[in-house]
Amino acid sequence: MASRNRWSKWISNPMWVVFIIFALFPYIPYIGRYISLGTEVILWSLFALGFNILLGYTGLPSFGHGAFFGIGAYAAGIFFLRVYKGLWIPLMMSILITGFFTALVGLLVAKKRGIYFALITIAVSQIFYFIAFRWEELTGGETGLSGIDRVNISFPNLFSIKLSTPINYYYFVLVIFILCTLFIWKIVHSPFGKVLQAIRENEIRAKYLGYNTTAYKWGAFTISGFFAGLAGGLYTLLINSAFPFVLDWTQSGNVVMMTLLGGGTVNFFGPILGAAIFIVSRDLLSTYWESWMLIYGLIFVFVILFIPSGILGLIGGKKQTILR
Amino acid sequence: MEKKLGKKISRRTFLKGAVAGTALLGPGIPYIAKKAVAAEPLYIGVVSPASGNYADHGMMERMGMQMAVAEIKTVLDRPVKTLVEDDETDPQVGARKARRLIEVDKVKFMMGGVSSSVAVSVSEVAQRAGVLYIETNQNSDTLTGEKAHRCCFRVPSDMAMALKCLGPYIIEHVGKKWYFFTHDYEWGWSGTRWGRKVLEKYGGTEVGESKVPLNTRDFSAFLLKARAAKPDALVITVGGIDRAALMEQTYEFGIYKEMTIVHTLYDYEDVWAAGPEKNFGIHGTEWFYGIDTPTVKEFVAKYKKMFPAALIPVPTQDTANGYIAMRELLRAIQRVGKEDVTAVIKALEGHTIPVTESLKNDPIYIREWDHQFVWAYYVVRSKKPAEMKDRADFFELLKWVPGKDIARTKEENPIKLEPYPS
Amino acid sequence: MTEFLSFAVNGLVLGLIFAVVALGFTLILGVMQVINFTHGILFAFGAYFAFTLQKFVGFWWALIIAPIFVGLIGLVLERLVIHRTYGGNPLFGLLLTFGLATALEEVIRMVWGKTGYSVAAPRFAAGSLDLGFMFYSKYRLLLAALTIIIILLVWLFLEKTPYGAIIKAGASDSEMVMALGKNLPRMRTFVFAIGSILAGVAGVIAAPIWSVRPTMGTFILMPAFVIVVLGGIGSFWGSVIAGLIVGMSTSISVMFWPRISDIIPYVLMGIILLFRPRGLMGEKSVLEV
Repeated sequence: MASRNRWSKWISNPMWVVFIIFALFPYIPYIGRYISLGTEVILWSLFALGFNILLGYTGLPSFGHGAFFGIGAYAAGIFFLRVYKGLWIPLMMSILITGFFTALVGLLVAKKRGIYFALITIAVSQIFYFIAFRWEELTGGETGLSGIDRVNISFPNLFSIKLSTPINYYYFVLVIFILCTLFIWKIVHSPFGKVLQAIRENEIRAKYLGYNTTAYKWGAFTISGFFAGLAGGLYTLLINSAFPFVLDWTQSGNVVMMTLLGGGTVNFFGPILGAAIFIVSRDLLSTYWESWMLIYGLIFVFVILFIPSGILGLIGGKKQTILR
Repeated sequence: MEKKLGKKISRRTFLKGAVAGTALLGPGIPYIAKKAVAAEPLYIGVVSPASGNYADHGMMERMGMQMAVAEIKTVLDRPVKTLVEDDETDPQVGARKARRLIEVDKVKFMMGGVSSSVAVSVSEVAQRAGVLYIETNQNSDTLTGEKAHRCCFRVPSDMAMALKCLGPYIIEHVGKKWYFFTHDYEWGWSGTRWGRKVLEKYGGTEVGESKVPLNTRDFSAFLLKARAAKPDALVITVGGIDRAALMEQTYEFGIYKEMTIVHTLYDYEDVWAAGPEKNFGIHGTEWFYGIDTPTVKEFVAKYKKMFPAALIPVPTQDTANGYIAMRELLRAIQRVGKEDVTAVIKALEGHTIPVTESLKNDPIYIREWDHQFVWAYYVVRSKKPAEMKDRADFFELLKWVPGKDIARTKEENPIKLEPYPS
Repeated sequence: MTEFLSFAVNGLVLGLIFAVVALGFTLILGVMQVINFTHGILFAFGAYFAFTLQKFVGFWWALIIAPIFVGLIGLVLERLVIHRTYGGNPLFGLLLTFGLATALEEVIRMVWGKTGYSVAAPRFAAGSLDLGFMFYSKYRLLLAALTIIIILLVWLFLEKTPYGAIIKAGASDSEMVMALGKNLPRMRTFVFAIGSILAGVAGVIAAPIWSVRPTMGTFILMPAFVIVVLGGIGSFWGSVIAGLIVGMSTSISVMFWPRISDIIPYVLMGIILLFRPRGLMGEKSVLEV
């Protein structure tokens, strides 16, 4: 009986709806043409889901995660151009190198919270931004890196998948996204995830219960960094280049906004919805109106004032504190 | 469906719906609308800054493009429509917009841009997709150098042309001791590099150099250092918003009284912003409205008629470049007879635009091996406020040098372009 | 040697401008716990208003009137929108002001256009001064004098007036102030207005040397963060001293290695935070709970 319940719980998980929608997207008439936007939505969703471990589940407002996205982006680019023109190795590097730096930075910030946490993450991300901008020899400076190809996935003697076509890359990113989403789901529903939520609710009490809250916070920070780095690497492969602008503090602001907009503070899937709405509407807005920044800014204001629990929070109605 | 370049948009009301709703349908709407139009228009994508540091330049180049579209109107019996996207002076946005134009709107031809790094990322997208892209206002050597592509052409001059024209004049009329201000990135370095070659050739001396990092607001340190070196000319290759601050501060410190200020690539938009008081020295520029040919006079008159309320009352070099780019692209498509990228590339390569249509004092030659538009460069002198006939009259033309004498040779630029798109 | 002196004076002048901006920022952060992203755009508004007013009333009157307009904008923003985020997650105040700043930057472009502008310094201050041992710009010396006066005025207000004393207390502990029964919402609006005025006046005096562009605010916003964290949130002297440190270090590093001059303030901040986690002169505050 127990195993059947577990199976039915898995199957009825809304995750599958999300996966199916993404899988079918390129086949939707007209909209489905804009494949690269779809790929962007998926990788930003990945970024935001990982980020939400920190923001929604642990309650730590990092305003500097754009830097980790950027480190991942550059790691992939630099490794491809200078070390090895492959697919998996540069991507592995984006994850590992970003993870390394996030772990380091995590040591600095794990003890803080609230405003101080936010301020320090902003400052740290700025340092990385300037390094990317100024260290010409490594990062190409303002001009950035270009010419980063997507190498085919080949299983010798079996088959070879050409990733340079947009649609193949879209599905590649989707597969990675599915695996990561399952992984993140497991993390936040594990005892580790529960402790994170406890810390969010009342860190002092969690401490008194015997948890080393600093270590947990560091853990959440670092894990979110791994996903940020992976998303960054995937992004570099999407645009075949890397620029310092990906590390700008506005990127950090964007990921926070996406996570909040969709309802990341109350629902696991919030970041995905938020990323989709954010990326698509920003693209639309700037296409149709030259003064789009005005609306864009006002949307921020509107969301913060009237739907602070995000869209899924609005639909959900009551204020949930335990993220399901 | 035409997206207008500036004020209200007729379909804006569509967007007032819920954000969530547009998220699902959004990218599809313009395509559905387009299909409803009778004669299928010919779409030209424009990726140009409307926000960010180069917004003013972007505005001027789009006006030039509009002038060309208004003149030609139809190509292959189809109305010409531009699809304008804001690159926000940001390479990743530029690349995304380029991909949108290619994937959703299915354009085969694009143009525009002011920032060289945005051009690098957009040209990469264009080359990979086999779409033609014309760089209208980017001056970095590398765009017709290491980062040149078969599918891309570049209209404005590069720094080699600038310095080969300007340099000898400065040596002869200003002096042989130069101090360089180099904007610390690829474009700045190329300006100074060619400047050094001029010094070497004519026996001048470099008395110093300051590398100015991007986003510098405070030039006092650099200006003081330059002053201490006592050069004849302060040769500046600094652009964008940094240049604006520099211009304010050269005035503030009165440096212009002690040496001649030389901007290697002087953009009219920047001079306009600085105003008559802060304009001094001898400079190089690609184009300005005072060039004394009948075609230029006609162009200026057309501009004034079409944009009576424009913020800048005369066209700038960006306007001229945008106009030429659009006009020549449309003409090439007309000559070829179909929307075939390879054929249009071949039609542009080696094409000469006669001096009666070139908007400069010499004809334009579109070089086949690096895709550079080869045409003249100018040396101008900043007028004192008292000499100005009106608010726009900033320069006196001193000299011009034909493009063929100053463009890079194959020895100086040994590149090879990719094969034609299949 | 004279070169070093010029760099040092430069650093001081830069630091003074930063200090004025940081003062406004730290008061808002301390009293309301809002990371005010609109500070940069308010700075820009100061410069733009000065540009427009200068044509009618000249530089000096523009210097007085423009910041008042900016203060009004700040007041309206606070009353209409910003006050709703007090007491909540700091992220909300940050995102809200971030959204406002983005929208307002576009408003500037819509109202004044996309081209840049120039503000002229007063006649007598144009040009340079050769002091024998040092060659410097007259306008910057004037700028230094003006900023010192402004900082002095703020100090007088915080130290010598009863209302100022309350604000000073509120900057480190707003809960206590509430307990004293003072009208907190009105005080907060006032603080935001003062912060805006400070940002605006800095914009006016910086305009003749940095030129007027819609994106000009981004240059002082990040340094303002660093200064406030380095100096200690809510601390007057913290902002002033940290402002000078940041200004000086930026200027002097330009002398040796221009490329790292932006990163130096952050590195300094990192080092100082290792030894004094609350910043140079920060005190334990409600922000840490």
